[in-house]
Parts: sequence; structure tokens; C-alpha cells
Amino acid sequence: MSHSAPHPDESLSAWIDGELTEEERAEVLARLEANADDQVTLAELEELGRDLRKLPRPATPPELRAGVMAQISRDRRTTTGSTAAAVPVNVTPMTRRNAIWGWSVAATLLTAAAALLIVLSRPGQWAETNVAMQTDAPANAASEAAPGAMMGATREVAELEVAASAAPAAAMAAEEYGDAAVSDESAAGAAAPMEAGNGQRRSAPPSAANKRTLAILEWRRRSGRLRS
Amino acid sequence: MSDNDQTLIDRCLAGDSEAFGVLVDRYQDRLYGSLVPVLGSVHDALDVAQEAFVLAYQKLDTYRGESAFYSWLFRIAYNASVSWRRRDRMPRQSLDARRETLGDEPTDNRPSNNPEHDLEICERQSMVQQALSELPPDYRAVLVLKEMDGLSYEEIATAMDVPIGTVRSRIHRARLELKEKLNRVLSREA
Repeated sequence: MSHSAPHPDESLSAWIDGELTEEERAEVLARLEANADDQVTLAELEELGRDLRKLPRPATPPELRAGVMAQISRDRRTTTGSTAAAVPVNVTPMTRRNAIWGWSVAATLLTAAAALLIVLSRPGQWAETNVAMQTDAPANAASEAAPGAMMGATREVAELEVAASAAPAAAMAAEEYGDAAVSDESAAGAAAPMEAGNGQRRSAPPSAANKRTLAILEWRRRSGRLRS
Repeated sequence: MSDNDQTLIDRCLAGDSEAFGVLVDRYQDRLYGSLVPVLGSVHDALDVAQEAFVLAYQKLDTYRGESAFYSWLFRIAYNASVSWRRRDRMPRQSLDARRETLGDEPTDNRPSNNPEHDLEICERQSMVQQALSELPPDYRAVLVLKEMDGLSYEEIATAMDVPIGTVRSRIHRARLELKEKLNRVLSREA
């Protein structure tokens, strides 16, 4: 241990306590040899130390440990209780529910926007498809009657599949969290356009997106913007 | 600080409160035994020791292991005792009242063939206790830590959060003052 040189008087205590450097010890020793009073003082201080060390140590009452552990236990229970209250179990489900609804709304909007975009950009081709849907005719019949239109419709279905790719993800998420209502609602937007394209399951009710598409086509037909 | 202390502390921080019970078992006698002469009351020592252990548990994540655990624990206890004194929970007591409060009249349980000599020892210890109780709290604390707990100056400096030079100076002054008071008590008794 390093420290500055103690005051001469303090050196006596530091001598007793073994807290002097070799150099300081030599100085104190020389001083003790030359000064009888210092020897008396040193002896008295050493006796005081012995007296203090002889003092009985009181027995620790058993309630000390018991009290400490009881209070710690109370604190832990309080902390745990407040944590449980602050972070309730239903917080996570609430977050999951928001995520499911987010996916559902996004998939529906995406599907509707894609369908609208295609309709507005290819009104003629969609007219053929619309006719086929309205007459509930097989897809191969439509293909024979208008091969060019069917090719366009097939291309559009592929685009719709891409546009609606978010819907199956939403359906999977809904299935994971056991929310059947969400699953049905999210999947409907994607399933209906695909069915319209492959022409195999046209008896299924049209989705909201298809309803909107049909309404737009009807409006365009009435306004004369759609080729017959 | 032994590795074992650090292991127990790590277990406490990981949520094992029973590990803290082991630390309490390990240091309660030392802490309580030091607080009784520092505070001059077994009741206050019990309350302060309990408060210190609980505070230590709550602050355990701030312990860096740079000093001995007991020095760190005593610092918490000493700060708690300062607050305790400020609350004026330690009125001055007469020697008789103090004996009654402490309930630990110095005794030597060893078998002896010289009861008169034993009585002299008891009286001497009572006078030392009386003189010690009349010292200022800071002087009492350094003497207890040095003579009864056997801490080094460096450890006392950590325990009391003062420079090591202050410890050296305080210990010497405390000894001189204790010597004076003891001589006064001895002359009164005589």
C-alpha cells in the first residue's frame, strides 16, 4: 500500500497496525529509542487495542436473517406482481391480432388495386373474360371463340396471382393464430380472381374485388367506353 | 473477496435469492457485532443490519467486486447508521441504561479458579465499552473496524468512503481520545 508519510504522532498508530513502509518503520524505531514518552504512549495504545479486541461480540439474533429474507421475499413478490401486471399475457395476442388485420387489409387492397389497374389498361380483353363469366361457359369454349382474348386473360390471371400473393400469407398467419374469420376473409380476395382465370370453379361466389371489377365494367359498358 | 462470494453474488443476480441467504449467514455476525458498539444499541444494530442487508441485495448489481464484499456491505450499513442517528434514534444513555440495552455485559464463559480476577476483567471491559460509547461515531467506527474486525487502512477507507490518510489520522485520534476517556472512567471508578 502506498501512502504519504504520516504525522509523527500518527506514526505510532500506524506502527501498531503495521501500516508503515520500511523507511517509516526505521524512523519510528529511532524515535522510540530516543523518547521514553513515546514508548509509554505506544504501550498504552497497544493495551487499548487488546482491550477492544477482548470485548465480547454480541450474539446475532436469529430474527436478523429471518427479517432480511422475509423482506427480500416480499420485495421479489411485489416486483414480480407489478411486472406481471405491467406486461400482461394478453399483450402479445393483441399485437398478433393487429398484425393479422394488417395483413388482411393490405392483401384486400392490393388485390383490388391490381384488378382495377388491369381492367383499366386492357378493357377489351376483360370484356371477353367478363362475358365468359356471365355466361358461365367453360374456359376452353372461351378459348376457342377468342384465342387472343384468352391469352390475354391468362396473362392477367398470372398478374393477379402475383398481386394477390399476400393473401395466402395472411391466410397462413390466420391459421397459425387460430383466427378462422380472418383466414376466410383474407383468402377470399386472392382465391376468387384465380378461379375466374382458370375457369374451373366459377360457381364460387365472387369476391369483393371481383364485385368491384364487375361494377366498373358495367359502368364502362353503359357509358360506351367498353367495346362490345 | 473470495471467489465464492462472487459466485453467490452472480447467483443472486440471476434470481436465486437463497444465495443471498448464504451471504447473510456468512457476514451477519461480523456486521452485527460491529454495529452494536458503533451504534451503542443491540436494537438499533439489528434494525440497521437488516436495512443494510436488504439495501445490499437491492444494489447488488452495482457491486463491482473492486473491494471486499464486507467493506462494501459495511459502507452501506454505515451510511444507514448515519441516517439512523439523524433520526435521533440513539439517545445518550447512562452506563446502567446502556448495560440494560446492550444485554451483552462482558462475560468470560471460560472456567476459572479466580472469580476475583474475572470480575476485574469484566469491570475493565465495561469501562472500555463505556469509554468507546462516548467517542464520536466516526472514531468509534474506525476503531471497531480496525481492532474488532481487523480491516486494513485501505479496507476501512473503502468501508467508510474516506481517503486513507483520513483513516490513519482518525484512528490515531480515536485511540488518544479513547485513552483519555478510559483514564477518566478509571479515575471515577477508583
